[in-house]
Amino acid sequence: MATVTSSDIAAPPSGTIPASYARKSTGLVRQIGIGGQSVFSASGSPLGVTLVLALFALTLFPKSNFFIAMAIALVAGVFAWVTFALLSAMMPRVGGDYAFVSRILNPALGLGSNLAFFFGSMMASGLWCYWVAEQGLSPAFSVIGAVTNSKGLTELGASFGPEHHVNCFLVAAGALILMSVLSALGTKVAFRVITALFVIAAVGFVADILILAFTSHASFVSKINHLGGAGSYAKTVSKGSSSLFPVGGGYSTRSTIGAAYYCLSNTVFCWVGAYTIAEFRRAGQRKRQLTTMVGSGVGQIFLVLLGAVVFLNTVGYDFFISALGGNFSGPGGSTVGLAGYVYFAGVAAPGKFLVIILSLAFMGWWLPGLYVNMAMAQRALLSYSLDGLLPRKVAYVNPRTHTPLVAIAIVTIGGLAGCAWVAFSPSFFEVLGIMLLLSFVPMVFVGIAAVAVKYRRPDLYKGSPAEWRVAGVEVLPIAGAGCFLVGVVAIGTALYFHKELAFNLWQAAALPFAILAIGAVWYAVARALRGKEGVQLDLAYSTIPPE
Amino acid sequence: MGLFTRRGASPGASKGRRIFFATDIHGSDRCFRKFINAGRFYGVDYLILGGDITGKSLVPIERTARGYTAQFNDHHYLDIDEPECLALEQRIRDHGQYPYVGERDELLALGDAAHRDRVFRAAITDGIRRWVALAEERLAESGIRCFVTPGNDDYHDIDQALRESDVVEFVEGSTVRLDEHEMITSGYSNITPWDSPREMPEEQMLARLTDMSAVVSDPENLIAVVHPPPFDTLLDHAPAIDADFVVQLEGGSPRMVPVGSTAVRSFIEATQPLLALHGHVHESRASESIGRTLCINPGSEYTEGTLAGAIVTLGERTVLSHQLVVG
Repeated sequence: MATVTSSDIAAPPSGTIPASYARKSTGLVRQIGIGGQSVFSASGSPLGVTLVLALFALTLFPKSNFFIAMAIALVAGVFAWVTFALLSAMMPRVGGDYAFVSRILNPALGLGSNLAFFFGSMMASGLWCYWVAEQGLSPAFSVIGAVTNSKGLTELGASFGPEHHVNCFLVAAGALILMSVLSALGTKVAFRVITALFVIAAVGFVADILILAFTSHASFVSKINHLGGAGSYAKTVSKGSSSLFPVGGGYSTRSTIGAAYYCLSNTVFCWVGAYTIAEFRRAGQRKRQLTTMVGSGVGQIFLVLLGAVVFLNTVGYDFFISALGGNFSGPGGSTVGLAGYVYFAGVAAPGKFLVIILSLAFMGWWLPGLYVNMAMAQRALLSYSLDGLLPRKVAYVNPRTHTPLVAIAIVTIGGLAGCAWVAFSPSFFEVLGIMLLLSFVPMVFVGIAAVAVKYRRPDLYKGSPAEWRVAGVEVLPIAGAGCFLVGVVAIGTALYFHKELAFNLWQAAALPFAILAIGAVWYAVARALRGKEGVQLDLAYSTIPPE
Repeated sequence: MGLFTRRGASPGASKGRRIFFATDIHGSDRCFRKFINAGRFYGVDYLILGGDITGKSLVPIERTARGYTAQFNDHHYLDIDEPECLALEQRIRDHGQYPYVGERDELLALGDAAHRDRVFRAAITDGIRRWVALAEERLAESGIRCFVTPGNDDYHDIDQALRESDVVEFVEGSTVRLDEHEMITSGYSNITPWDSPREMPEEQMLARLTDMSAVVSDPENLIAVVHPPPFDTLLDHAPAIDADFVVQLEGGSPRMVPVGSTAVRSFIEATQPLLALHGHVHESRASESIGRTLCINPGSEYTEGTLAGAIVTLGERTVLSHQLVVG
């Protein structure tokens, strides 16, 4: 829809009436490019990491059809992306699910639902800093050691493997504290560091995929045999349990459903873009929100599929799964499963120098990912404090660095706890599984809010960009119902596959309810305590009748 | 002292004088109606509207023999009848824009910048007159005082409409007394890239604020309503733009930079009023203390007809409590 500015933008073509004229006034800026906003929406799930995590589906759910699983994830994801896009267009404000649920349904429910995401972010902070060691340093040194024939480097890589709990924890804690210090020093400093790392990692990812794309399968087999010894490729495949492979195309429906859940949980969180979407001007445009949020989700799935096709075509499905299971006996083979595409792209890369560069570039994903998760948790604390749900001191900002030191400290402590849990847990999949499960809780309530908004907040909905009809049918209630169902089915599926995802069924099932109960009690306590100050907490969420 | 209790606050905090402050409603009819009703809803003694009260956009509605046609908020309205058109006009006003109904040739005439400027100014002034009439109808006899100041985005044309009211108090550039507190008000901002109607260089703004505060009898009890927030605080961060007004990204996210006023900061640091109320930067909804001065920017969410504001309870030389609300 066209908007014409009074003086600094050209007048409309003769004979056409624009949708609106904007006068020259403060804040009138040209909108950020759709590409830029899409990248922003997708930044919650860095591409290289998403590929690594998505490919884990092959080992978590043997005999699953990865491509069908991704297709299911795509269809399910669309409901969530459309729901969040339309609600963001209607309420373009910082806060995402917390703002939607607390304003449309109930503040205590909004808090409880967002607490699930908050705890998920804290766990994610612990997980991502742990991955600096296990998925960053370990495969990087292993690959470099393998191609340079350096036993020391290979052993160094192995020393950051999952069985070395203390090493991993120390590296992880160091990474977490480093990012906390960077955050405390100032947003500008932190952003420069993570931008640089992100760019390096993205360039490395593209190079990895290109190398694999231009390496024939025969050439790859030859290189593996050269690296691991004669017949190494065939031996690895034969060592793999036949139960892991889809013999004669016999994929397992059950495993494919499990893999679909897992793929969805790694790609759906483009809706995290809704948390900060209000920072973009013209965020209240439906087409823009739909294009960027759905576009980033679909685009990411497409790129992950492309990467997976290239990777599996060159490396070989059976070989990769067997190697993930630790059956590849080449140098650093024990850690190959942690970052398969990097390891094997390294193996295929022409020249040791390039291998070293690519391996180091892969490490660039982890600190930005850690920063994003820490920032989400800090942002939640600031929102709670601003709304009176936490002491005001939590929102204290250092006057020199302009950073929320108390919130950073709280997230650091929570992240360290999460990190210790990951490092000393029998399987990091337990933490990953619970973290992902919790992250679906806001989807459930946002779905309900999307269905209910026309009844509970008609003032917001009627005539808004969210009141979108296709062939006369309102989209938001349908998308919301779908978002709700996807959230509920995802949580149910995660619980059904609790053994594969390595968590305790009843503990995991009780957790979302426990967090919602914490939210309700938290809100009641804050309300009572604020009341003693003469502050009525309910007013923060109450709508003033305009008439 | 409880976990959530501020130092100095007491159960009797609500006994102080209460202010509701909102800002940057940019022509939103719905926000203004809420603002007027906020007095009774929040139980406050004073309503303060802190500038940038007029809208930025004109929405053409074409009148034809078949009905009315317009595009608004991602909706295409084709040949709607008169009652539907009236409802659409109200919806446009509720979102802070001005409907302009006319035949095709009248709408095409808006392509001329000078004519468009005249139409804009007329729509804005008409809008303010309607608001003043509404405030007079709802607030008369209520005992609630209502203060309004224009902001940097507001044409000077609106001042007269505000001055004529005996209920709405036009306080731009003046000092008024709120019981034991005095309040100074300035809607001017530091220089922006948009060359808006009420801007001045930092040195001039500092001199103006200093002159205004010089006549205040008790600076420790002063309330300063100054449209732009102090520079480099939580209250003044907005996305950086380049010379072509394009938002700049860093790390995939908008690069946020301080855009507040150094003059306002210097004034607050030197004068240390009790309370400083700001707006201007919609994205930076926050409160922060500079020395003993509590500075608040309640932000703005006018585009969706939501009124962001702050309730402040004042005691003798102290702020007993403050709360950011979204109504």
